[in-house]
Amino acid sequence: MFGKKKEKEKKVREPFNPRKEVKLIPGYLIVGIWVFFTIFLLVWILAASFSTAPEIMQGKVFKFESGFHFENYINAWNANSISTFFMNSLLYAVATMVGAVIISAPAAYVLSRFTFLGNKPIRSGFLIAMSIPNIMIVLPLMSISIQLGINGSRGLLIFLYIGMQIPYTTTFLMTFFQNLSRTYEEAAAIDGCTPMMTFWRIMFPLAQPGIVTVSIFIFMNIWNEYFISLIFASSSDIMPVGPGLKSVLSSMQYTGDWGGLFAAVVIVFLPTLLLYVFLSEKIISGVTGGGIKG
Amino acid sequence: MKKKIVSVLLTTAMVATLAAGCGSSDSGSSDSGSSDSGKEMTYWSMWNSTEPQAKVIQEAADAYEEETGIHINIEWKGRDMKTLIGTALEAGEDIDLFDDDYMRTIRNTQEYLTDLSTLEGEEEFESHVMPVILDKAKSWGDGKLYAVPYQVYTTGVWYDKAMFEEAGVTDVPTTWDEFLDVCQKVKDAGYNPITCNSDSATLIYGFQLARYIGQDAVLECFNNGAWTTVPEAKKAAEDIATLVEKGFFSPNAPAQYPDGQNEIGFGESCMVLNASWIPNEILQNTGTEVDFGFFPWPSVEGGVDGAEASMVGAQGFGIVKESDMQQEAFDFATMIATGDYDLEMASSVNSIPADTENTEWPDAISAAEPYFKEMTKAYDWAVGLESNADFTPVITENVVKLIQGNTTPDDFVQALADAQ
Amino acid sequence: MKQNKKMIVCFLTPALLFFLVMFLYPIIRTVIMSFFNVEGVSDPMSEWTFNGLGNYEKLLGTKLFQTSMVNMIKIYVIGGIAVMVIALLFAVILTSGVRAKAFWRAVIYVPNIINAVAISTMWIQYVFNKRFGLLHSFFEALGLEELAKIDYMNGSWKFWSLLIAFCFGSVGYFMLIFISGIERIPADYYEAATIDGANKLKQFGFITMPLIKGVFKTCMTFWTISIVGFFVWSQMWASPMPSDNATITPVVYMYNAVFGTTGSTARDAGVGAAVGILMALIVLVVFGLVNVLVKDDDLEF
Repeated sequence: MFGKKKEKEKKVREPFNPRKEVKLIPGYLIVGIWVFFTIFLLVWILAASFSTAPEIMQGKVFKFESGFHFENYINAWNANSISTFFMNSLLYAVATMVGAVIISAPAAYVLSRFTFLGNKPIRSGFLIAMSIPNIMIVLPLMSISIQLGINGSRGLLIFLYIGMQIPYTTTFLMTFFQNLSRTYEEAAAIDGCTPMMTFWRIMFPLAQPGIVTVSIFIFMNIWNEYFISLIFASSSDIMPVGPGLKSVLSSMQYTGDWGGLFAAVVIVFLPTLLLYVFLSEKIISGVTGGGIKG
Repeated sequence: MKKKIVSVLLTTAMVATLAAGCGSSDSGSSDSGSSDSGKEMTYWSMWNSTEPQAKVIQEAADAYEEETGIHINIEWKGRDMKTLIGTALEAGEDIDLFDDDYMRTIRNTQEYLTDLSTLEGEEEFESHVMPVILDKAKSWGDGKLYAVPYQVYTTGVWYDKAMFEEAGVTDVPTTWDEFLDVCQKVKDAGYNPITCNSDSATLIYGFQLARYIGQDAVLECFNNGAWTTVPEAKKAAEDIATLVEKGFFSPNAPAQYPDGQNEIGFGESCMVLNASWIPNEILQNTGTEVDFGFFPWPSVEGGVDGAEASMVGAQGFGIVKESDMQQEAFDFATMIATGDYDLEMASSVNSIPADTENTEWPDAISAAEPYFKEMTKAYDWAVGLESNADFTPVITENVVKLIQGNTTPDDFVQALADAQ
Repeated sequence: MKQNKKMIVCFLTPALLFFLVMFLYPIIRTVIMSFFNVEGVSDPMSEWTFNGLGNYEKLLGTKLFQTSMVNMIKIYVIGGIAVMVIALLFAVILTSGVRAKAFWRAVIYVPNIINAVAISTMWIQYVFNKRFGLLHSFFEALGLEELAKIDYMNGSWKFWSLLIAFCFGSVGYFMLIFISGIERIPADYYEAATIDGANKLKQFGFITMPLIKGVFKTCMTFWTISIVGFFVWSQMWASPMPSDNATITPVVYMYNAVFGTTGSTARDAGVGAAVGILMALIVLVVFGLVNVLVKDDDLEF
């Protein structure tokens, strides 16, 4: 929130100073090469996704000799069910986002606001849960879900995703509630609001910046998730983009459809990239904003 | 308090409805595809929907539905099958049948599969299966058949006939020395004699070693880690090192799949040691229709095996034990593995017809036919070198290094011995 | 007060239920499982047979698992140093008053927001491709034939190509953490140092480094978690095989052990659980060490 303002102030304060700029040249160079490489990589992939396999093989992707092959996208979207994976991921990411926030926000609120027996252990429990490798927990989760017969359903995957995001989301939101002034609750109490109503009507909306940030994070986490879905969603109709793209890739290798392969890659990374282009300030401030703690 | 409980319930309910919502919409969409009988079975396929194999299978599935009213949901998994199927079966995914390499199907997933002899028509089907394939399949299943084999393959050296002609090679090599001669001629003609993919590099070493001592001895060596005490293990490595020294391998070999084999399609390399799906894959991948010749891996001096021994195999349908449509799944599988669909499969993907009654081989691979007919010994894939998951990566890595010229035969056998 | 109590209970219960089902119970069960002979994941407990430390012994005696551990340690140490050094360098550059800082920062962070499968495909199929790859064409254009011929996806280069690609993607994240650490250092510290005649390097050594010690701790923690769970990159590099000697990691080993893989009949969920326990122990030990070594918490966040 405040990051942007500060940045603007700085910019205004900084006049052009040739001597200083010269000193910075090595820095510009190093960062410039790295950034150029990153952008070049993405642009090449984009160009390749519009090219034919022979053009890619011969290293002629930027020439577009045979024009732009939009059909690569149509092929990737339809023939290899990227569309299904895409929609699944969208559903999982949104559902997890909503579910994890609705469950974590109240928990974060009471953990940060009240002292009670078990507060500390619960906090540390969440911290430990965040650092436990996934492989510690997948086997029993799998055996429970098999016994319950709920394996291979979207509901199970969303449930698992929500559960996995709760420790992180709760810990992240705790700092936001901590920083809110207690006067809001006092005022609400005088107006006759019950504590719970106060939370949903006043505190929850006040923590909105934090909630938005954490939601974006959850969205990206789920969009980019691989391990859990590989194990719990092996059937194509519920598979998200991670394992889905992997299977598309191995199939493209067998059919030699390189253009379609890169089109599939673009389809998968575009949503998060666009999200990032529009919300990069928010996302970056989220990484550094003080919420995440190992 | 009540209100609070309600809100908690609401939260959970919301998540639940979200999930349920998806579930119902999902079943709705798949229902629409099923036909009047309302019966469905699920088939996980090792092919991709765009491959010619898939087209034949889809056709068969449509015909099957027409005939029986049973709709077959096909999930085109592609070659990722081998990483997915174990998890899916363990998780109890709703799968009635699936296919993968028949050795993998039978050996890795046997406990999830139906013993086919419990199904109707199994005996009749067995009479259609090539004896060599049937014996192998049964040997892995304690005398019982656990998979419906189809799309049979054999293995040997596939080469571009035009390049041989250009290089002045008239007869295919049968011995190691002749093979070296041919390589030299091809090299002189300006082509890379041999290419290979890194994922199948073990084939070369496996074949060479087996030519010296035979598959049983290879497996013994493999199981006992006797790499340093069996002199042929080093000898075979030295032979490969010779090929490397003389510059007979493509400079890119072994390349990431499928770059290696594609070099033949691009007219850069001449020979590849691999299975009979090679002509079709190269055609698919590079769009070049190469006129392929074939010869078995050459025999070696003082060796026990020759042209009569080769790696043969097939893909295999496994029918899941938990399925309540085992008979139907078996009928569908045999429909593809025999008769007209088998023939169509063979001709559309240039594979060997699996049904013993289908004798006509597609042109692209017909060069392998005479050798196949005379073959008496069947090797496992990579002569068994890939049958131990804990050790296969070690062998693969070291064979790759050997072909790259980054290790010596001595270090090679030592590295294998150390790893066991 | 009573109302507060009710609220605490109601607000915490859903999160705690998830915690119990998703973390506490599975952790306990995995610990128990690692001491038993368990073939399939879903085998009921009645079919388990006690095996003592057998799973661990078997695991530690398997060459491939040892290889996977060595790979992981190499990624952890070499990759860790490389990523931290580059990330710190970028952080220092970007906080030294360069223009368009937000742009540089945003682009460097980009690999972190892209699906790992997509980004590793870019590397494997494009950058490292032997036929039309970026490195190949780059070296060829410079006339460096020897370098152009390198096969990054096979043999001795394979591990390094994986490491380079992975580290490239990780730098952005740690850079952001370093930047925010550096920006918290009050500007007058540097002003005072400049007046006292300390050059930039000295300022970095005597002001920046000591004051971002806590940030290092955060970075170590995240790095450890991400390396212990190293999976998708390894699988991508091994494709089309399920695993590969040069790039296998313990989690990949565990996946193969539990669900069976090419040419192997062995499925061993007990061993898989033991891998999980070992990884968790590693995380615990590293956290303990980091806490002992880096005590200054002033600027941790």
